[in-house]
Amino acid sequence: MNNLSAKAKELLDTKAVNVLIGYETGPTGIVRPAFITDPSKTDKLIYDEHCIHNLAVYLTKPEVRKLGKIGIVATLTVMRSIMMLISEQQITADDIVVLGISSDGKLHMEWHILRAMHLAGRCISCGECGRACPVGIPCHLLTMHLADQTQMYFNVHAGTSDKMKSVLSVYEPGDKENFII
Amino acid sequence: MDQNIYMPHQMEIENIIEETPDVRTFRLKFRNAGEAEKFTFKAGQFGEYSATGEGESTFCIASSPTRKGYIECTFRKAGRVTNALSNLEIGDTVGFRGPYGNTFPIEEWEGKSLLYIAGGIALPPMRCVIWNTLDLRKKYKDITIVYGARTVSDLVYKNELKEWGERSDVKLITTVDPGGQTPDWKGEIGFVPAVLEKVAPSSAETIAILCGPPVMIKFTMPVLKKLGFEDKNIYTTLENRMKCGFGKCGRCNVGKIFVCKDGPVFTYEQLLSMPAEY
Amino acid sequence: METTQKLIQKASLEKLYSHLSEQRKIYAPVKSSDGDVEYKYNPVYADVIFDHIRSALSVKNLVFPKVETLLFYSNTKTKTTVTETDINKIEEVVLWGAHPCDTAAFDTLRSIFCWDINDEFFLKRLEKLVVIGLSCHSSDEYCFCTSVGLSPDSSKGSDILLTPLKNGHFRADILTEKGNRIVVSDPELFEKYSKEEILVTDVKQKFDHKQVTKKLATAFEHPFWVENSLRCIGCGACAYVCPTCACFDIQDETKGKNGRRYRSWDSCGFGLFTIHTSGHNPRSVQSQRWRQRIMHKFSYMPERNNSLGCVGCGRCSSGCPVDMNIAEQLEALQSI
Repeated sequence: MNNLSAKAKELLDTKAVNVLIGYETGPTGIVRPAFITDPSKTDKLIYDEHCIHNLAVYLTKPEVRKLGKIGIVATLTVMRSIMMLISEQQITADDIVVLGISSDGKLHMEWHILRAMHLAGRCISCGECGRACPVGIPCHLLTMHLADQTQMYFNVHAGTSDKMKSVLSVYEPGDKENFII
Repeated sequence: MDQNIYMPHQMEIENIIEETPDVRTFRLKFRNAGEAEKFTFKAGQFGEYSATGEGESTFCIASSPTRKGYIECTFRKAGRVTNALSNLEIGDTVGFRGPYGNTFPIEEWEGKSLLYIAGGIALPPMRCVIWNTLDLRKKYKDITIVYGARTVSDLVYKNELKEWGERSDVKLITTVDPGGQTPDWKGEIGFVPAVLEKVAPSSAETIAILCGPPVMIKFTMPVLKKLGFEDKNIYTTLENRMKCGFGKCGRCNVGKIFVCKDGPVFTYEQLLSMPAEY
Repeated sequence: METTQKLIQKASLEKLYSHLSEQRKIYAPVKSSDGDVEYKYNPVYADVIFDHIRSALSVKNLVFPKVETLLFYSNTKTKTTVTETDINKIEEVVLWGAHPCDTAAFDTLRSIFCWDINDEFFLKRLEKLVVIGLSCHSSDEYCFCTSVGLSPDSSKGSDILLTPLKNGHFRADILTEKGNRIVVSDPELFEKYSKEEILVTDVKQKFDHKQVTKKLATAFEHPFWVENSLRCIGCGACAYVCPTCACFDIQDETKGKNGRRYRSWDSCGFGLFTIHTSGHNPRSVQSQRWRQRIMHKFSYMPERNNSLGCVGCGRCSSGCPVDMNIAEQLEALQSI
């Protein structure tokens, strides 16, 4: 049993968490998100370069929250998403146990304009939106561009603190206004 | 084309009644006489009304088929389309497709008493069948209407409530939620289920027709059961979201049942056999 | 009409292709620059491929476009004018080299668009479509046509079905009048056929759809739906790549005084799909929406539309970003 499985088993055994979100290999050999509630089944947890899904997406899903306390396998990208969700008060830190994975798998991002605008100042540049697209639209280029702009204009990079305020819903006296025509 | 099933009739707004600050009733007349000639509908059916440029919205036909030459609809200003409709004036054009859906089986109800129970903005789906049966008054025994709203100003169809209240062949009970009354309010104060229990209409040879928000339905149903109403004698309408109105867009189904084709009128007996996806 | 079989030589296919494309638009599969397979209008014959497994998108857009204009309008202060779109302007299209799953999907779509009342937009496009199907010479782990009553060489939905032969040529099954008209206009290309060995892939049966339908009748409340949809993110990609998904939205789009009402592809997987104006949502969580998707295709449609809502193309699974594999789930469903 690898470290990850052992740690997951311990968390489930001690009821520190009720569900562990990680990665497994599906029957067709594809790596996919896994939800483990039974401590005897943590053996199927894997972590390798194919584990690229941003698992933070599940932290706000009602059916997942209903399972109770959540343990989550988290790369740096996932952790940044978690911080973003905490700062937006979509989740509370107390409900989540993070199994941090040191960064190997570098990722990148996606989607369309309306969505990109909603994500200005929120996109943590995980790249999942581009990967998910079944027809290969590189939607992440838009959100990444907006993330760069947010950095440039407001000196804020989403998901780097769980205390940060949403860039587009707060005003600071020092904010640049040169975009107002 | 042979028949564009998405093409609305062009209707002229003949009259507008402001029912409450955010609820309006339109009286609509066909601009094209030929279309008016061919148009028929029955109580319970609905249509897709459009504010051209903003989109379509689904409401029942709120007038009775016994009143010829026009249809009426009542809607609350709540979204993009209903906001746009609210801004229209007498003489403006509204698009209308329909009628769609099934009907209240008023022929089957002949010889029986009718108990109408409605809450808030759910009186419009019932107004059509109320007027339809009142216009055929001799065919039915007692007709009782129990109507409640949050506050006095939320009661719709105030003129008609007055008319029904004055008729000797209709028993009308109106109620508002506690705190929703005005100093001169003469009706009941209390929630619809409680008022219904107090009024305690007989279930003998009686059909109950119930429309209202889910929470009202939930608490009224046990009262009806206590009064002895059988599931097959309780009727209601479902209001699932729709786009096409004829069973193609895939939106309104409750299990295998299409609300737009098999409904919107259902008996409680039917509802019990369906999954709770409404 | 009675099916007839002809031999068409590999070399003759190019002639047929070029004759067909002289008279009307032809829609055929090619490799796109990123390696995906896509259908294009009037590609040069040299680019047309015969050995693909599946295109990224289905070909349902030929009869059910992503966006279809239903009517045009113009609004002035005093007058609203509404005009028809002229469906008689819809042009004839030859669909070339579509696999049996995709051609069978036209029948499935017909069972949705033409039950109770006919949708003339759909019908006119179908009427103007000539389908030259192509039996599958290869398949992959996502294919499951044999589990839904089809096969890699089933002719459903084709006017002519081409089946590759071991000798490098093709057998042409002439299935409809539309197909026959093509033969009649190019008789020298269709030669006498005598039995040859065909080169068609094997697709393993993964489940019994009748058994699935039977199970679903009593499975609405089963914990299966929540357990098996935890990783679904509700992106709706499955519906967009599906050849039989037909859910649509209707919207108005205005520019100045003029505009159009259109319908566009939608997905029952989206959270806002069924939401009421009041905010109440009959299918408020993803597990309910996943259940709807499966139930619709394998339970409601068999009962209401007398057709199965799935042709086993595997796109929903190969295109899913989180490996929601429909065949795997249906196989599991059989034994709940």
